[in-house]
Amino acid sequence: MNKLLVSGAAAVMLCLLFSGAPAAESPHGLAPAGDMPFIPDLGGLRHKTFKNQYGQQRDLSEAVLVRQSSVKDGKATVPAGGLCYISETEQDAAPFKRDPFLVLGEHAYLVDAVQTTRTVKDVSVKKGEKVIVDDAGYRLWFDYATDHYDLPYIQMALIAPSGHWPMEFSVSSKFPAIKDLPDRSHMEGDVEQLDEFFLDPVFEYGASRFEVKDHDFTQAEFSSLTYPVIEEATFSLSRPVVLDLRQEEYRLYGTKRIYAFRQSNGFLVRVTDFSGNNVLAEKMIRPLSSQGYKDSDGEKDNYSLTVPGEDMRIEIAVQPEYLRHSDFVPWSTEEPHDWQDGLLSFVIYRDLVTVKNGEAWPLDPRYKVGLEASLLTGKLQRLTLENAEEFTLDAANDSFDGPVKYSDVWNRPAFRLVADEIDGDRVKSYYLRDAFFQRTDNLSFTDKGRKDIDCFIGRAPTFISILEDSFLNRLAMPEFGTEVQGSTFTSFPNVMPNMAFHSPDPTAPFGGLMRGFGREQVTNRRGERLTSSEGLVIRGSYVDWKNNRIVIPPSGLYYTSRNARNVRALNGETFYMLGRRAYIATFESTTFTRRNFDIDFWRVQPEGNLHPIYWQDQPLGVNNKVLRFTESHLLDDRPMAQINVVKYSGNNFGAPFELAQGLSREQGDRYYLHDRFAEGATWIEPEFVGETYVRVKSFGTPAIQSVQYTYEKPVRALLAPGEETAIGKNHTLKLISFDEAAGTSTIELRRNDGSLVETRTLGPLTAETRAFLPQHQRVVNSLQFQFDEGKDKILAEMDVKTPFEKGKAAFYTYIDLKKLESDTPYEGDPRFMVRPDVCGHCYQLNEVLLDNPEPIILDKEHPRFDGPLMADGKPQFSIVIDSFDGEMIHAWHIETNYRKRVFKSANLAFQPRNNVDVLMGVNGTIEGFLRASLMERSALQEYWRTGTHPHPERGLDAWTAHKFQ
Amino acid sequence: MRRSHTTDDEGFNYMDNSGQEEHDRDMVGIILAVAFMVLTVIFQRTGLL
Amino acid sequence: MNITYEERRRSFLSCLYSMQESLPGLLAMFFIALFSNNLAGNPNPLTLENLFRWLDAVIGPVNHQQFFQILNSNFVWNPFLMGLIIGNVFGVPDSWKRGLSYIHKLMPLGIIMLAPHFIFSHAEKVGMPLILIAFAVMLFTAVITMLLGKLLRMDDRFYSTVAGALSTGDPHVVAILMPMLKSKGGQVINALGSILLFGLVASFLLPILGHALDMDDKAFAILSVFGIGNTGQMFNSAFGFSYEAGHWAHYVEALRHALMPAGFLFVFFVMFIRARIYRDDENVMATKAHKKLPLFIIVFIIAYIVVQFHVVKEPAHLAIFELVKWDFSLAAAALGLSLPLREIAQWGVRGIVLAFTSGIIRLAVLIGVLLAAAHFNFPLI
Repeated sequence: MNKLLVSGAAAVMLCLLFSGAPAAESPHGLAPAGDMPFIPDLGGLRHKTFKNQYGQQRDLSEAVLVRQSSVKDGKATVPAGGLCYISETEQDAAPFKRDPFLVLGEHAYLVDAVQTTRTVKDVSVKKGEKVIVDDAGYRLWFDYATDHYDLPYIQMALIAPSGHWPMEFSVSSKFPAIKDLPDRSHMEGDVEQLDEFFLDPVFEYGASRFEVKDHDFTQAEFSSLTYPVIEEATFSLSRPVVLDLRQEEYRLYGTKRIYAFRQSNGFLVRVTDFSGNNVLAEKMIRPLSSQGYKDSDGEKDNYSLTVPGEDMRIEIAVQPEYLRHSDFVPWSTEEPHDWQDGLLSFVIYRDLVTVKNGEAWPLDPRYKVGLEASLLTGKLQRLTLENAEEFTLDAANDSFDGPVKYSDVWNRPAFRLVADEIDGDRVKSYYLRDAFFQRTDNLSFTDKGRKDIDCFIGRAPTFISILEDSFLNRLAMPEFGTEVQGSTFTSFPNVMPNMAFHSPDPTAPFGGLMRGFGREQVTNRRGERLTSSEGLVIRGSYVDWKNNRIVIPPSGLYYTSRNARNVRALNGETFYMLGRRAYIATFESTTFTRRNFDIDFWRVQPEGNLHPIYWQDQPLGVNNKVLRFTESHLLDDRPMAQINVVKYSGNNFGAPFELAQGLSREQGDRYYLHDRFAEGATWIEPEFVGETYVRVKSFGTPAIQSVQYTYEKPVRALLAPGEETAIGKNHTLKLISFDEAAGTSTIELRRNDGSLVETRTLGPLTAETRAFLPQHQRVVNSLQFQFDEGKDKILAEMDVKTPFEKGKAAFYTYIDLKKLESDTPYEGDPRFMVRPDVCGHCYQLNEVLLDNPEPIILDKEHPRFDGPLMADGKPQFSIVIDSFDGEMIHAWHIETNYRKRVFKSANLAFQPRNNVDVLMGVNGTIEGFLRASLMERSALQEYWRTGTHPHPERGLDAWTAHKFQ
Repeated sequence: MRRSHTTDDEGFNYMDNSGQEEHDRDMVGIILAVAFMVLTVIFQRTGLL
Repeated sequence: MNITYEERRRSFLSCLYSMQESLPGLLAMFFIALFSNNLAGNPNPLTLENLFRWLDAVIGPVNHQQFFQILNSNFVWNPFLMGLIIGNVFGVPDSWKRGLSYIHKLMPLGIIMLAPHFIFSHAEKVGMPLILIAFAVMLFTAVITMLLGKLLRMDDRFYSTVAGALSTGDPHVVAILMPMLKSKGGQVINALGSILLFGLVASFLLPILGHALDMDDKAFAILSVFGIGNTGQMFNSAFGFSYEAGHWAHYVEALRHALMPAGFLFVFFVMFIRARIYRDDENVMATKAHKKLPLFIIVFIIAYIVVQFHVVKEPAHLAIFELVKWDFSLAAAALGLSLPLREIAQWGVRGIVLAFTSGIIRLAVLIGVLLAAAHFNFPLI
């Protein structure tokens, strides 16, 4: 007894020691350790596409996540909610559609759900924080803030307890809202820069609504957050029994009779015992059809009969005749169509399990159920089961069972987390074993061990959102060298005549940071620190095996230089230009507008290494951007379209347009979306939003014509009237006069030999004009004086930060200006074309692209291609093919010239490849491609680590892969 | 001694391979191998693979 | 006692026998193959391959590799094992035997179709120094193994099989050499077992030795690939040393594949010429049954030369390789059925002694070369 007390006391002491660390925060909505192991495949965690009753595709996957765990003194601790099983559908699951859902490895159907919305009032959040907004563990994340006309707008996300969020949204209370968008349907072609900048204070997203009350750059206050929640869900764990319905007669179901009596608006269904004398249940139910509103609260009761005390739920559906007695739908369509002919059938669901959000899992009270709804449709998207209490693994007790699963054979733990070697503060061996006793590799990948037992096993898409903070580090600094995935060789290379607006092969090696591709923090005149970086993208290349050569199509190779946000004039902002720091001087932008045009739904979406179907893109000007209709949903049968602006680089504009017409919360709709959209200077007003096409009434987005920059740092000159300063070798700047109250300065620029003199008054720089700074080019131009005479291109601008100081006026002078003009050859190397990309919000330079207008051919005779020449005449990078046999590339690398040295990348065809697609360097453009292929790339990292090849259809997977749904 | 695994009651030993029979078997194998390879190459060159 | 083949022969197609005679045996092979491997077009998930994969997952990775891969389970091994079990437990019905004799058509068929697998340009990337070293070590191993085998007074068919498979580092080679050398089934399997046992032991011990000798990752990868081979075993060894060595082992493995035909053809021609020289020596058995150079070897060599010019492009090669898998699966089933266990045991432990002795000599030579290269800073890759 005493011993017990002593050990008990010791345990308490230990716990106290543990809690010496800051009180563990709820792991809900938080990410696991950035370097946690990811194992994509474990047989017991399934990942498969099924179809529902109407042939709509449902991509289901399961995963196990461990987060916020810690290892100390030979013990691994996982807080309550730290071990989480996730079953997820990429779309959603709703009643009455026979939507499939995985429940701890078992294929189930969602048959009923109680859907509501939750509204949380008055939530404050500081920049960078993820604050908990409700008891379930939803968090509001303030990711980022930037500005327009010096007014802030903020990027937010609502994170579900599992860690999933569908998209970041931008809101602001400082700008005109979408409803203020004027009729611009008269505009067509290029028009000048528009003054308005739109950002709505309310983000409307189907079933969700987030309204910001007030905010600045560092904190925000939301007056309300409304989002859907699922209170209860009922799953059927077996395939339903389908019986032809016979009117005024009964069908036998086991020992029960099920009668159907025709009524004017449905069938009176009566369930009796075998004799027919005892009525067990009776109800009028209506035959089902595919309309979405039928699962709403007021409606859904009309469509099913649940027999009390019996494991039975009866619905009546139309079953196509050839599918009698089956629920197998062999094809997929993205729209739910009812069957036009067929038989009315009873669909009887059995093996029903009802789970309640926030309550214990029926088979295992150690686990708590979480039901998460799609923020858009409000329907079930995720089922999570998480440990209700903290648990500890140590030498005496090295495993923790997952939740007990329902099984046809025997109910047993769905998985087991084992940590069998903990050495002090490091875990040297831990793994997960599934319900079929299959285990993962040791999740502590190196001998050093880990300080936590975080991990993510399985392919649930939540993986992508949960890694938002760390994915770049994971991919850019691989622990196991530059990963190269071997290609699948086919007779038919994916040939694109021009790769503009398209992404590289998702398996393209990512070289990460490489000397020669700059990346550094720079500070502008206002002291704002921005990351500036450059990189190289090769896309759409292929081996032309009939001619023993490698082809990079036009626009297949581009140099990219980009800052963390757009590059602004008047602030002395810099960007990389082929390895050198360049200072932006001025820019020239317009608004590209189009009206009355159609966009088709992009039905065939890219998958694997197939290039996308491109003829449905709508061009926005020449080599500027395209519009792409990428997603289509029915929200209670009203079509909703997601349209993206795709940049020349192949990346999407940050804000997709979510459009639906005729929805209104006032008229009782469950959903609302704007029927037009405007963010920044980009807007779209549809005439008609259909399921597969949208007719656009008016659309506009910025386009940039040119920018001017210099490699020489601008010099500040403080001049009293009459004073002058040299600007370049041949010119002089003289201040004639200034008027501090009016904010104007009159200056004179002259050639030193006196042969040419020009005078101009800069300004006014007043409160009114400042309201358009720094983005509006009309105001920018009024503050700049450009003097262009062939060899000498110079510019003087007012110092907008401190224009007047101690009775003097301040200027910045720029010399040796160079021009980047859209769609013209780059003057430093005319083999490349300049394709500057504009910020869709604000008309500023977003990205400098230099690409190849002609195909690049590499073969045995020409194994080397030099990239654009830098100022010193050397190419910034070269592509070098080391071993190519006409069919496979066995070795190639990239060389860079940096500080008079040559740097070589790793072999980018370490495993044989059929293209030279590659991502080198790290900037926003490359980040976009990486994020889009994060799941595949992370899985590849794992295959690469262990030297295995992806082969999903082996072992038990082959068995499950051949089971029909 | 009769080898039960390979020899049948007619004395045919399926692992024996000699003489004219070996020659003929080789020939069948060679013809099939060349035919398969040639066909596959033709299929690939004509875009069927 | 019965009509001979020559008597019933009408054309070369007579070796196909009648449908009635051959069908049972063909079906036996077919079903063994069907339940052994996940072959192209085989929808059956209940295969031995899948059972092993599941067991692999239950056992958990060893040095990140699957355990049955380290035991070299593959498309030859699985149906062979199944045939062996069926044959030894239930015996082989007489009705199957005509059909099972198709193994002698399947062997040359499979060997010739392997030619597109050996493309030298896939290995060029590793560079000439390593190609030459690997080639020299391979021939050296073949020679030393054959000499040692003779010294151990082993059957020449047996030791030359060991020599071929050990020097090329590929257990498939025992099957390829079987019709070439005219070796016995028991010898082939005994040789296979000996080499795999050596590889298994070496693959666990070599990383310890590598660390003791402070070898670098690339050198150790080369040591694994050319000192052990046997794909799964060399990865076990290389990944047992380090991740980087594992990756480099993947890289240089292409060279081992490209050199493989040179290795087994070398052994064959040595034995073939020897048999011609010692026509009357009754101890010389390997290749002796060949009156002249077998046609299928000539065809293989021609195909091997032709494919070097990329006549068989990649998806075609994959398709042909799927056929090879089918072919060897069927043949291995027949081979497994043919062998009573005692016939494998009959060749004793001398195969093991030979594999270990030669294997260790090869490792010693390779380590010497690699350490010398490291000493003189000579880059091998």
